[in-house]
Amino acid sequence: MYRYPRPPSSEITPRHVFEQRRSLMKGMAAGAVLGGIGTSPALLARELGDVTETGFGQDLSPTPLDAIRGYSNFYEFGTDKDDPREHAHQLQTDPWSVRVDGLVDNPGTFALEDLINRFQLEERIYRLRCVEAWSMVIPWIGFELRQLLKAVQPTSEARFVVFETLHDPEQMPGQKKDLLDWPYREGLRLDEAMHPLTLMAVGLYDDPLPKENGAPIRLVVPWKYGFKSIKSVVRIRLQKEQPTSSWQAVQPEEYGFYANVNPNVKHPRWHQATERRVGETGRRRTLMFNGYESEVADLYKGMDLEKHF
Amino acid sequence: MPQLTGILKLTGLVAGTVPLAALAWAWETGQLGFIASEALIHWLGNLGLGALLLTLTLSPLSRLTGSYLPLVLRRQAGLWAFAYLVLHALAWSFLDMGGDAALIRSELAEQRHLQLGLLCLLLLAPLALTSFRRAREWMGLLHWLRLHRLIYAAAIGGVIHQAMVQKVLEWPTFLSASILAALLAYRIIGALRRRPGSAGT
Repeated sequence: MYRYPRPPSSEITPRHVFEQRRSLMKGMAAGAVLGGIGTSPALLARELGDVTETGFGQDLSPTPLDAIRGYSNFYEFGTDKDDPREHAHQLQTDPWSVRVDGLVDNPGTFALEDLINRFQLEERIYRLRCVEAWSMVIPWIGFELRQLLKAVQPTSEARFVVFETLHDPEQMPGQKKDLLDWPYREGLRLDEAMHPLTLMAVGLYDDPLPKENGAPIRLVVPWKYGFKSIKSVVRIRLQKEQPTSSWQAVQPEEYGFYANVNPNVKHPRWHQATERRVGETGRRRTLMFNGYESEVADLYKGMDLEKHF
Repeated sequence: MPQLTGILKLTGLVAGTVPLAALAWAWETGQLGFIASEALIHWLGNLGLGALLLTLTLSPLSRLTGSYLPLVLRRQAGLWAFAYLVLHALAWSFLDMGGDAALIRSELAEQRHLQLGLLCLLLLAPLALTSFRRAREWMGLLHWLRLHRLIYAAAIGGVIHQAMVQKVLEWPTFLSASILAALLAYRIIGALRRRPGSAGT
C-alpha cells in the first residue's frame, strides 16, 4: 500500500543541490548507463511519483526552503510567523482524504494517494504575494485543480467552489482561540478554479509539503493574495451562491472575496504597490495579478476591481 | 536619600539601554527572523509604548506606596519612551520604506495608523524638549503640568495605533489596553473625588 512519506529533515534537498537537479539526473543516468550503478532518477522524484518538469517560472529564483518553512501564516498553529514550524508537527497527515461534493455529478471522498496517483503532478515555480506586503518564490509540486473538478463533473448550476481546512483543535491548537470562525474557509469562482494556473499542491522543492506549509494538500492560486491559498484541505464543495471566506467574515472592509494581487487597489493596513521579497533587501514593485496578468486578466474583464477587491 | 536616588537613576539607565543593546545584537547576528526590519520596528514600538505606560504608572505608584522614589524615574522613563519611539519611526522610514521620501509621503497620506502614530510622536516631542528642570521653571509649574498632560493623549493614541497594526488583536494590545484603562480609571476616580461637594471627599 502507498504510504505518504514523512521525510526526516536530513532528507530535505538543500537548495544548491535542488538547483543542479537536472545536471545531477543527467549525470546519474550517464553513470547508470556506463557502470550500471548509482541512484535511479526515479528515486530523486521520490514518493510523489513522476513529476513533470514545466518551464513555469524558471526565470524566478526560488526562496530558500528554510525561509518558506520558517516564515508563514498558518493561524491554526499560532499567529507568529515561526509558530507553524514550531507546532505543525502535531498535525496528522496520514491517512488523509478530501471530500468533494455539492453540485457535482460524481461526489466522492478521495484518498490523498489516489489524488497523487491519478492526476499528473507538475513542478510550478510561482510567486507568492501575501496581503501583508511580503512575497516569496515557491517551487510547488501539484496538479491542476481543474483535473479534479473535471473528474467530479460540476453540474450546470455550480458557480463557486468552497474549500475547508481540517478542523481539529487537538492537532491545530490555534483553533482553540477565537481568532477566526474555524474551520478556515476559502472560495473561488468556478472559472477561477478551472484556470490552468490554479494548483492543488502536494509538495515543494522536490519533497512532500512540509506540515507548516499546509500538508498534505493545499490550494495555490498565484495571482491572489496568499490567504486565498488555503492549507491542509479536507473538503471541496461546489455551490451556486458566492461563499464568504474566513478573513472576509472577520474584516470585510480589508479582505475581499476576490483578493486579487493588485498594486492599484489600496489596503487600509499594508502598502500594496510594493512588496518585500523574503531574503532580499529593499522593496520590489508589486505586479498586476502578481505577474500573471496575461494569463488571468480575462477572468475579470469589465469588472470594477476597486469594488470587487 | 540621595544615594538611593542615584542608584535608581542608574538602574533606569541600564534598564533603558539593555533592550536596545539586545536588539542591536539580535540585528547584527540575524536573530530577528526572515524580515528583520519588521521585527525591529515592532520591538522598538512595543518597547516605546511600554515605557510610555510605565511613565504613567509611576505617579499613581508613588501615591499608593507613599514613597517619592517612583517619581525619581518618571522623567527618565518618559525620555526613554520618546527615544524608543523616535527610533521606531526612523526604523520604519529607513528600513521599511527605504528612506524613499515619496513613498513615505504616500504612505502617510493613506494609512490611518501611520497618521495616528506620527501624531502621537509629535505630541511627545514638546514634552521631551521641556522635560528639563529649567524648562519647567521657565514655563511655570501650572503651564508645564498642563502641557505634560499630553502624555495621556499620546498613550491613548499609541495603544490604538498598536491595535490597528495587528491583524487580529492579541496579547500586546490586551496588555497595553488594560494597563491604560486601569491608569485612566485611577485618574478619573481621583479627579472625581477631589471635586468639591462630591461624596468621596
